[in-house]
Formats: sequence, structure tokens, C-alpha cells
Amino acid sequence: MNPVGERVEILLVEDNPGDVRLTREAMKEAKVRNQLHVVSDGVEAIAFLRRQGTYANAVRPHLILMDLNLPRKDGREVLAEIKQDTDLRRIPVVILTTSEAEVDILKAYDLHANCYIAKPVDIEQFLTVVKSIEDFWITIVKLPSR
Amino acid sequence: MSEANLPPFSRLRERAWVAYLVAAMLASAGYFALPKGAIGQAAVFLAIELISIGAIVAGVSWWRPAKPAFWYLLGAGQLIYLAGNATWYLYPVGLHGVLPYPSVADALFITSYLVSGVALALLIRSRSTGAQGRADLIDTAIIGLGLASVSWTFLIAPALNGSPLGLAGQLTSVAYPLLDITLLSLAIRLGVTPGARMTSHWLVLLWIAGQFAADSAFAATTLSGAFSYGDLTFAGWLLSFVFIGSAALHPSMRDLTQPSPARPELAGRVRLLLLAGAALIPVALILLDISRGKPEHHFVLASIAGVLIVLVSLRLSGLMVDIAEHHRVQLELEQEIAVRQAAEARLQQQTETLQRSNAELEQFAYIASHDLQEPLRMVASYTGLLKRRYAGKLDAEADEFIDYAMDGVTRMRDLINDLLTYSRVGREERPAECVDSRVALDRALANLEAAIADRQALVAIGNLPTVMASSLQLTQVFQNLIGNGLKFCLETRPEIRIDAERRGRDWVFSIKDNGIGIDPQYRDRIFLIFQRLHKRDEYEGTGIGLAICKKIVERQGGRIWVDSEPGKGATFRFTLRAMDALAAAA
Repeated sequence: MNPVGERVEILLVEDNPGDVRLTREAMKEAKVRNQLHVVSDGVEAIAFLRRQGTYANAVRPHLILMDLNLPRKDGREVLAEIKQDTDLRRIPVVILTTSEAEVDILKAYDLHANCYIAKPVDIEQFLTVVKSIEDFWITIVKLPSR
Repeated sequence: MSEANLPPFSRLRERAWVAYLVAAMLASAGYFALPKGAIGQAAVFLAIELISIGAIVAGVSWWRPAKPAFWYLLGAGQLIYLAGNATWYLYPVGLHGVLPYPSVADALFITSYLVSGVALALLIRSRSTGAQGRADLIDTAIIGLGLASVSWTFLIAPALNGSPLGLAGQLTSVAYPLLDITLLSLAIRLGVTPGARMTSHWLVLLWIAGQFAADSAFAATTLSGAFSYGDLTFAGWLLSFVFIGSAALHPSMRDLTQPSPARPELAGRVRLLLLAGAALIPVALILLDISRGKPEHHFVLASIAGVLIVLVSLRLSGLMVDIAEHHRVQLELEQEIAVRQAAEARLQQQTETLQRSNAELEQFAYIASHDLQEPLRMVASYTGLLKRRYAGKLDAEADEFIDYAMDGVTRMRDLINDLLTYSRVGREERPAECVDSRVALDRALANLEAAIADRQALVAIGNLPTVMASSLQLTQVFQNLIGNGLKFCLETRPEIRIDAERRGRDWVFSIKDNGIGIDPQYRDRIFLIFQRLHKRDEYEGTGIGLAICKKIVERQGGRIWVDSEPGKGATFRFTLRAMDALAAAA
């Protein structure tokens, strides 16, 4: 269990504002107090995690939610970079994408994604999925302390 | 009938002709061991001849040929011939009388030749099939006339020339060689008929050859005055008796009168050489006569030569027509082939175009369904969020609009999902594997669990085999077909039976329901993509489900079809190759 009252920091890497807003709405309904940080491409994601440039004061997230298809730097490249970094690789990465293609799933796990979730079309299901992510990765799972 | 099935007596019959042939040959040899010109020789000669007639009678009664007329006439001819021989041989040798010329014997001989000639003509007619008939007839006439010119020069003309005989005697002398030539010509005609070349056939030809050889020798020796009773000439006659008796006893005599399919024989090289040789005979004889300084036969020989030229011309024109016909047929065939090749090329091109457009269509369906997911999800999610947050908080109209939007989104989602599934068949395919179809079915039933429970459907399952297929796809096929059975059954409680039966190398799966059934006129249409038979508010669906089934089954090399009548339920069937059939093919 994470310390009660500590705000959970979540990094969302997503280029579609609609999806960003949806995730935000879903998180609003969450039990746990959380802060959603959003970047819209792979280059920004790496900069955020490494606290480079404008992200010099960025917080280290507890959890990363990331789409696969991103502008500039692809989600797969970002995933590979995170998992090769001895420090960053401890942050769980949840791939949240539209693709249900077998190749994408295999590739993501090969790159050590912590889990792979296809975005449901239905809003109720989407809310359930986000709630489940929160339940599992934030409430149930024991993460290393930062 | 195979030999093993024959009763012993019948097997003896099969061999009787050999026994007869050997015995008659030995008896013929015995003839020459006896004192020459004595009554004993005459008795043996006539006995061998009598026995040959007996052999004809035995052969006809044993083998029962379908058309016995030839054999009856032949026997009659031989009997008359025997009577002639008896008179001709016994009177001078036994009674030391002197036969006048012509005598009763000559009348009998000539009659028997005529009867035999008719018999042969009959045989030729029953064996011929018509196509090659005219050419055969001309060939026979050419060779017959060639031989007749020889006969004229060496037998007939010498007999007539300064003959002391009266008119009857002269006519008789001419009749013999002419009849011989006629018989020989008929034999040649028989030889070239297209019927089966069986033992009995050859023996009949040998009979005529023996007869002709002996008759010619007799005519020549009589002219030269060298003839005597019991000389070598008699060997020819004896052999001819033996041959005709054997021909009648041989089992193949039964089918001698049967026609057989015409053999394509336009003009063989040997036949043409023979014809050319025969046509040149009268010319050679004229040259011979000139060299001997005896020009008396020229009129007859020149006439024969003239007729021969006409016959050869006829034959040639026939050949020309044949060749022209042949050429025409070949040209037609070549044109036909060219037309077919063009059609084939066109078909090939069309097939390629179709394949390309199919591939493009699938590519489009895949990309469209794939890329439509994203905007669809946006529309669906925000409409859902709108409903979740604002249902009942705006006015009644707003709620109605939101519901319509939700409804459209749901349908669009189903369509896109089905389209994606359809375009993925064959695109993201795993190799076919050994699948227990019962496992695939159970998975399909599990996916349909809610619908089955909701409709309180009865599902019966027969014995299902292991087949070569993609497991997931087989599940999809079962799921779509059973899902249809549940869907198109609103009035009654659904009863669905899944079964499989072996048919040749395939397993035929059947999914039988008690639903509304399908009008047979839509039997094929229902398997086409986006084809629906009902209005959306009657039965929902995208019209892709059966198209997916068809695509899956056909990609596995199977077939899918439906047997149904409106109101009587439907039975969908599809085939998959059985494991053992595949193993056998490998």
C-alpha cells in the first residue's frame, strides 16, 4: 500500500486531446487523490522523465500510461528507452492504445511493458478500465519507494 | 467368362480346334502316304472334306454365333463342293469312268463357289462399319482386276485359244478362274475390313488362299497336261478343308461376324504399294506378251488397264477429298485452339483483375475498419459520457437525441468490428492445426452463453471430429451460425443441433435450427457481405456474419451452404478436410 494521503503522480503520454480529456474525466471519478501530467509525444515524454528543458522541475511519476502511436518519437521507442534506463525502468508502464493487433501486443511485452490494455469503445467500459488501473497499480501493487 | 469357371467339357471345347487341326493335318499327310491315284486316297480326301463340314456344324452348335447365316451358307457351299468332289474324284478313280467336260461335277463346283462367294459377301457386310467401305471396295477391285489380268493371260486365254471345247466347255473354263479371282478378291476385301483380327478370321483367309492356290495349280497342270490324281495340288485343297474346319471350331468364330470400331486407316504405305503393283500388272503383262511375240491379249489387258486407271483415279480423288477434309478439320481445330487460348488469356486477365480488386477491397476494409476505430471511440465515448452526466438533466428531447446517437454508435461499432474480423480472415492467420472441433464449439457456446440462457435455447451436440483448421476461426464459424439460429427464432424456443458426418475425404458439419428459415432464392445471397434479408427493427445484424463464415471455410478449402424452407428452420452445412484424408495426401 502506498502512504495514505500521498498524491499519486501519473504521467499520461497521449496525443489525442479527446483521449486525454476522457482519461482526465475517468480519473476525476477515482478514489485516490491523483495528479495527471500530460505530454503529447514521445520526445516530451522522455524530456519529462529525465527532467530536461522545460520539464526541469517535473516530478517522478508513480505510473506511466502511454499510447503506442505517438508523433515524433513512437511509443515503442519511448518504452524501449525507459526499460533500458536502470532508474526509470522501475516505473510501471501501462500501454493504453486502440490497437488490438497481435504484433503490437507482442512487441510491447517484448519491450517489457508492464501491461497492455486496448481502449474500449464504450465509455462505461473505459471508466471501468481506468478504475481497474488505478485499483491495481496504485492501491494493490506494492511499488518501490521513490 | 474366365477359364477357371468353365466346366471341364467347355474347356475341352475351347481346345477342340487344335485337336482337329493336328488330326486333320496328320490325316492329310497320310493321304500322300497312300498309293497315288488309288481309291484309298480318294476315300481319305473325301473323308477329310466331310469331317471339315462336320466341324462347321459342330462349331455353329457349340459357339452359337449371333449371326449364323455366314456359317450356314459356308457349310452349304462346302457340302455342294463335297458332292462335286465325290463325282469328280470317285467316278474316274473308283469306277474308271471318263467324265465329260463340262460335267455334273463342274456344275456342282461352280454352284458351291457362288454360294461361298455369297457367304463371304455376307461376312464382309456384317463386319464393315461403313466409314472406310468405299475405299476398301475400290482397293479390292483394283487388286482383283490385277489378278484377273494374270488369270486371263495364263489360264483363260490359253484355254480359249484354239480350244476344241464347245460353248459350255469354254464358258466353264472361263468361269473357274473368274470365280477364283472373285473369291480371292472377297478374301482381300475381308482382309482389309476393320473388324477384329481374330484366329477364326485368319483361318477363313487361309481357307480361301489354299483353295485359290490349288485351283490355280490345277488349271495350270491341266493346261500343260501334267495333272494327275493325288499330286501336290491336292495338298492345297486338303489344307483349305483343314483351315475352314478349324475356323468354325475356334471359339473366336462367335465374334467373327461382329463389327468393330473403324480404325483410322487413310492409306497405309504397304497398301498403296500393293495397289500400285496391282494396277501395273496388266501393263507388265502387255509388255511380256510383246516380248514373247504373242499380242493376242492386248484388247482385254488394255481394257483392264483402262478400268484400273479409272479405279485408281477414283481412289486418288477419294484420298484428295480425305486430305482436304483432314486439312479443313485441322484448320478448324487450329482456329478453335486460337479462340480458346484467347478466351483463356482473357479469363486469366479477368481473374487477375478480380484478385487485385479483391485484395484492394480487403486492404481498404482493413484500413477503413482499423482507422475508423479511433474516431468511433471518440464519438462513442463522449456520447456515452454525455448520457452518463446529463441524462434526465436536460429536456426530454435531448435525452431522445442522445439515445439515437448512442444507437447509431452501437451499430457502427458492430459494423466496424465485423468488417475488421472479415478482413482479418487470411490476413492475420495462424497456420491450420489439428483442432478438436468439440473444443472450438464449446468455446463458441461459452461466448454465446448469455444469449442461450436468455432465449432458454436447447442445444444438442452430436459426435464431433478432429479436423485441420484454425481453432479460433472454427469457433467464429460455430458462433456466427449458432448465433444466427438463436437470432432468427423469435416465435418459439430455439432448438439447435450441431452434428458432423463423414462424406468421402471431408467432414460435413451441420447446424440445424427451428427458426424462420430462408427462402431458397436467397440461398447464395445470404453469404455475400452486407446482404440482409430483414429490416433492422425485425432482426439486428450487420450482414457480415455469414460472409465471415464463408470466407473462413473457403480459405480452409471447404464449402458452406444452407438447406432451408421458409418456416421450417434452416440447416447450415460446411465441410472441412478430415485429418486422415490429409495424412493420406501427405
